[in-house]
Amino acid sequence: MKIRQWQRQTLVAVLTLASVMMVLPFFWLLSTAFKPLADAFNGQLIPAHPTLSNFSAILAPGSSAEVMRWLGNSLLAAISASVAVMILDSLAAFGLARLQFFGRQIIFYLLIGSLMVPFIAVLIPLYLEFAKFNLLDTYGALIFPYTANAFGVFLLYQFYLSIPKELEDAAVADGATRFQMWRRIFFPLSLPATATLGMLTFMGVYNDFLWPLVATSSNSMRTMTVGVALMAIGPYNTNYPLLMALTVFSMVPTLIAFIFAQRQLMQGIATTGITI
Amino acid sequence: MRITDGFRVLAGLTAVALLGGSTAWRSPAATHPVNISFWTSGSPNGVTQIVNQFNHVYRNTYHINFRAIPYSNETTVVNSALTAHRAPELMEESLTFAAPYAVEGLELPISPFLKMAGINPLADFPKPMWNLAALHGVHYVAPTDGLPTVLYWNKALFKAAGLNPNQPPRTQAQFVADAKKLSQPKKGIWGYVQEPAWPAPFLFPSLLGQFGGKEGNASTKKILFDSPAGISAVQFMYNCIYKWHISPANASGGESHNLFYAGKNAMMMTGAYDYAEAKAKLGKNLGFATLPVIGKKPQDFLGQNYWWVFKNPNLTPKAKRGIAMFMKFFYNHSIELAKAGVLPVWQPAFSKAAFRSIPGFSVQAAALQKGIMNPLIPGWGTAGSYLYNAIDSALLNKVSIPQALKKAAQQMEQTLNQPQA
Repeated sequence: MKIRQWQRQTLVAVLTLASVMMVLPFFWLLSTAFKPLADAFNGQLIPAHPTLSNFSAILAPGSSAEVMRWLGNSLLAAISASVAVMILDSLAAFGLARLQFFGRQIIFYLLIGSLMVPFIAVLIPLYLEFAKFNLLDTYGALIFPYTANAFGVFLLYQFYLSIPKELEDAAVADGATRFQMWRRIFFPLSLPATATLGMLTFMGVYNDFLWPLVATSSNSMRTMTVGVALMAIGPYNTNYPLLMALTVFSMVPTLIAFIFAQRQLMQGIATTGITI
Repeated sequence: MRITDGFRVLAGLTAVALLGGSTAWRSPAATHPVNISFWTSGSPNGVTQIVNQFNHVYRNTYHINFRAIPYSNETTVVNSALTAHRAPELMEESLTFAAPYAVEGLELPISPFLKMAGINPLADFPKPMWNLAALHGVHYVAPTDGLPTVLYWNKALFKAAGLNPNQPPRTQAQFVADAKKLSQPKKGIWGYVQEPAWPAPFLFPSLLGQFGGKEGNASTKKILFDSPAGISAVQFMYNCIYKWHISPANASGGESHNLFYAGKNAMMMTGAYDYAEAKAKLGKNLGFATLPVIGKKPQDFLGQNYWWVFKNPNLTPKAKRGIAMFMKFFYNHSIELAKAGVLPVWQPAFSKAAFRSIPGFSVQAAALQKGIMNPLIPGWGTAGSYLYNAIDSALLNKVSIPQALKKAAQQMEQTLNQPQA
């Protein structure tokens, strides 16, 4: 259908407006990160008295080691959990989608059902479990709860269902084991979807706040999100410029990860139909 | 094959990550000193320094494991730990949070610890902060810091309006008269900005107390703020907007502060927690004093932190002694709190020159002596939202003041008297 000139212009105007609305908070974040405390809410998007003092505070000798440690913890947890999710969810999805065994459907429905349970409902049981195994305040607590998730299984399950059965038959004819089948056919074919899952997990774990807050107690085991909250948010007031500077600082790894994985991510989104 | 290589890299990364993580699973713990865990949701500024000093001095005997938790998530963190019997020995939070734990029998009475430490609470703490913190006659908590409600004023605006910049209003009449002289609505300058929402709920208890009223009775859980004193308190705020026109109507959240920092609001009555920011913005033009007497007598609502000892069957006599020693050490080193901008509540320190020379200290110390706090009723923290909404509605002119307060009192009383409250 041919789009008329005025329709196109309206569309562009609406999209431009929507883009500005999306981008404006990021500009505000960046702008506030470069403002002194007293100017935090002066309403100016361009800082009248730009300063690097908030970043200096983060990188000061007293706090830089802490911040770098939090950043390292977040990265370690996010990378480890993403890798584990990509492998475990892929294996689970393969089993549920392509193998025939007793109770397969029930397990699948139970998995899907678990998606309906909000995290806050399992917070205390999870805490008790980790306390029982003496894993609180360890990297285990920061990684294990994320290492398998029903969403990833569901996502890859759908993808595996779409792979032609002929490929599976050919592999069987060549004498491939089930594991080889997964490793040499299903996993490579699902790489865009798996990479998307990995990226989503990375972002989810990296940005998670509640579980790392509850599960860690020592300052050296904090993640970036918890550290940011402790450093900039006080009981009665918040140092917004410092908070924004810390947020900018903490966004860098996610941004780099996104830039590198952008192609795979977009391909994955296109093939699975998910949205971020 | 590229995929296989990639898979190996991923597997390798996982292994390295988990191996790296495993080093923390068995983190070496000091075995000789007795470990005492101490959590706070208050400001860690100053406290960290005191803990470090204590750990250094008593390095062979005791070790305080200090943990700061964000104020907004304290209940989740503490309750999770309590469920798993991992609660800290010593906990510092605002007073409201202490009540439910005490009622549930999770706290030890604090007096034996104070006695062990040689602390006389009646003489060593500001009287209101000790006297108002008993639950059914038992003290489970001791104060650690205080945060009064104070008056900030802009000296430059006072001077420009022909007022004495060093003489803040001390009575309601003076406050209104000064604010009228200061207000120039056409120029966007106000004598005072009364926000319907926060910090109005922080100011309300001070005004209520000044008019001779009380928020509630802790023993009977009866709500008392819907009294003539409560109505007078909200009426004052209402009049600032609609009768005297010294404040804009419908002020948005943070407007009072923003206009004050921008030199367009001459006076602010709010918590002392804004002192550092106000000083940074206004410099020498900042005035800082105790609240004027808007009602009949000076009263000052205090934000505060208290600490208590959680019941723990594994708490040995030696650990109890360690807690007592740490408490005394903490109070004796409260100059660290004062330097970090937190007001200590250690009475013996108040007369010392080192404390009095800290900007804003004397004003806050004076305000502490007239301090009042929320009644120690379990659930007050959450149920308080009914009162906040009532003040908000009344100041937005949506409902009459007596009606708003009466309804809030009924709702709060109902909530607080439910079996689980």
